[in-house]
Amino acid sequence: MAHVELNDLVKEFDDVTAVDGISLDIPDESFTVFVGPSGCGKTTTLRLIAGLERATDGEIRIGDEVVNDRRAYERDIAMVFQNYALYPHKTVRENMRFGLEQHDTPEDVITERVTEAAELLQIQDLLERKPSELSGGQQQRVALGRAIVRDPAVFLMDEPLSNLDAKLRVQMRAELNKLHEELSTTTVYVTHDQVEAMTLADQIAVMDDGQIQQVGAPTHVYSNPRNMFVAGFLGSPSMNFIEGTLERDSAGKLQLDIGTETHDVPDEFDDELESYLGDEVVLGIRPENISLNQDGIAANVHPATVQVVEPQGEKTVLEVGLDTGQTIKAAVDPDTTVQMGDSVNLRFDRDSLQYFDPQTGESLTYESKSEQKLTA
Amino acid sequence: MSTEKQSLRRKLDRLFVPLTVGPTMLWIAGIIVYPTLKLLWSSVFWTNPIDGQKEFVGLRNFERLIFAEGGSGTVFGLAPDFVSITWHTFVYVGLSVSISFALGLGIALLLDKDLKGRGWFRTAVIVPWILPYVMSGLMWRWMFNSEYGAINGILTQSGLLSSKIAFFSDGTLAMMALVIADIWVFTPFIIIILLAGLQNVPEQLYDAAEVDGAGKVSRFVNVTYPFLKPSILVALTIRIIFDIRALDLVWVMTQGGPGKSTEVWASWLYRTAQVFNRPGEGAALGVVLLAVTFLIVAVLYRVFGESPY
Repeated sequence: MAHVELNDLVKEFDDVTAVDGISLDIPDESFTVFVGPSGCGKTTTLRLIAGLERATDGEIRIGDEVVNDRRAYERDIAMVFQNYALYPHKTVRENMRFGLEQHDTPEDVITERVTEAAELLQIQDLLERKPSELSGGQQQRVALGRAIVRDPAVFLMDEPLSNLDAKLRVQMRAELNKLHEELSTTTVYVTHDQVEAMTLADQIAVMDDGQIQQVGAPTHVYSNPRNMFVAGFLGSPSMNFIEGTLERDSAGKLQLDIGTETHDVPDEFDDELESYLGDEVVLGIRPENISLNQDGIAANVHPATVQVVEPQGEKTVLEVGLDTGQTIKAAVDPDTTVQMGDSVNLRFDRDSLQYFDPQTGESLTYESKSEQKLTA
Repeated sequence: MSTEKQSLRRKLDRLFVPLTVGPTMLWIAGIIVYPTLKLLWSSVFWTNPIDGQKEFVGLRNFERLIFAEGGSGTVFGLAPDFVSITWHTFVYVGLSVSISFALGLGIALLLDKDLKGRGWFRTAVIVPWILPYVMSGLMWRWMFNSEYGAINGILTQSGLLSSKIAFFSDGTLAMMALVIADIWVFTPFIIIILLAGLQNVPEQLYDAAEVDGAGKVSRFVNVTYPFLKPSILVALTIRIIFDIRALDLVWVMTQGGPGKSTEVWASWLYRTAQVFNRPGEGAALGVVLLAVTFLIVAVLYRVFGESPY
């Protein structure tokens, strides 16, 4: 096992900077997930760690050694690829043996490791088959098996579940979790699927535009996004953003003028938002933190009209038009009886409100919320 | 839908396959089956060159060409001409195909890499192949000309040779000239086919092999080669067929000479059937050529026919 350290890592392809000076500590035995939209640089980062790309600048450490100049096979890593990358003309057994054979591993060790990995992944019956005779899920297991037999210091996984159907993906996700539990090998995992990221990771690194936007435990990053990108990227449906002007009401309390109505800012954010008085500020609220208010008008309740009703089983997503003209989403109780065209009152959960600088996209309340969390 | 319409539809459905496949089958019958049968038929007749009368001779045409009727120079009872011309064909096809394959594979592997000017070179490399073979033959005949040829010019002016060589007066040199011309003409074909095959190798497999620690040779053997096999099969099959029946280059450059030292099956066939006006024997040679070609293709399929998947 080993920890991985990235220091000011840069990768440029001609005029494009794919990885733009990222630094990250990936602790030993951790499951770290790089998540972000297509083209954000997450796969390039993984390939840099793997040694399949050479870094333009910066340092990669695996264990205590700088590995920048080492070839992929000298880095003690094993990789699982998006399309499995199994050798199609070799049987499952030959696929799993191949890496060990290249390192002149003794025959008895190869046999033992292949048998063990096959048992662990329950693919003993598939060993003599060729990849074309396997289902997607089975191919994925073989790809994992090929990585496991190497007994590497670090597993690198590049969107390994993205080619599977939804049901199988959920199943394999659970198995990956179990596998990590059993093997405790440091794992770096790349995905664009935020659910995968949230469920698998000990540590999540949200990437955009070649840079890491935020690193932390999945729940922490989800509830305390550092900027609007992270806030909007994690969560489905994504966070609602409502723009307004920050002002003080007659009683001296901070409130956000969002057009035809106002939104009261909780007192605890006074210090952070003070300097934005008279300026534009973005209010962020996740759909699941919006509920339908049954008790008539109260503080921070916003009248709205239901435009679309999407029952999704465990919740119902409403697309609602605020009186200000903006459309937002609310995830409400699946038993709700509201219909298209109904007028409703929306209550925003006070503890879940986020405020952002519309120019920089940075969270104005990140520090304060993180502290609150720690105190709690 | 009325019953009448339904039955019409069923009739049309039944006719769909014959109507669509039929013309192709007829075409194949016209250009492959009929000529093959005609060839087999002609090979068992002797045609009188004076009055054109045909006489059934059974396998005597084959006998006369392949087996010696006593006399000197027989090899294991085979006719000397058959043995020497088969040897010439073997040398010509063997050398041309193997050298152009090795060259073609090397260049294709190079062109598959992300090199500067790759696009330009890819286009330029096709030129020899798109020229008519007769033109290439004429060009190479001039190149190897004993008096004015560029090859002699380069060799003498650079001091490598003190006097000019008459390439086409020596059997071995004439064969060498033929082989060089053939390689020049057909290597681009190998490059194009193999390059197309190389594009089929999934990039991730190279990555996987790199992570697995496979060296360059192991990567070629375990990743490139299995995917290249279908292309190798196509390239070699077409290449060998082209060379076995290659007449243009040989006829234009040496006409089988000096003597019979560069006579190959194709030129022998042409000479027998057209120059000596013995169509029966020519057809018999054609049958032998066909059988040998089939045999070679069968072996190639056995070796390279396996799909990587």
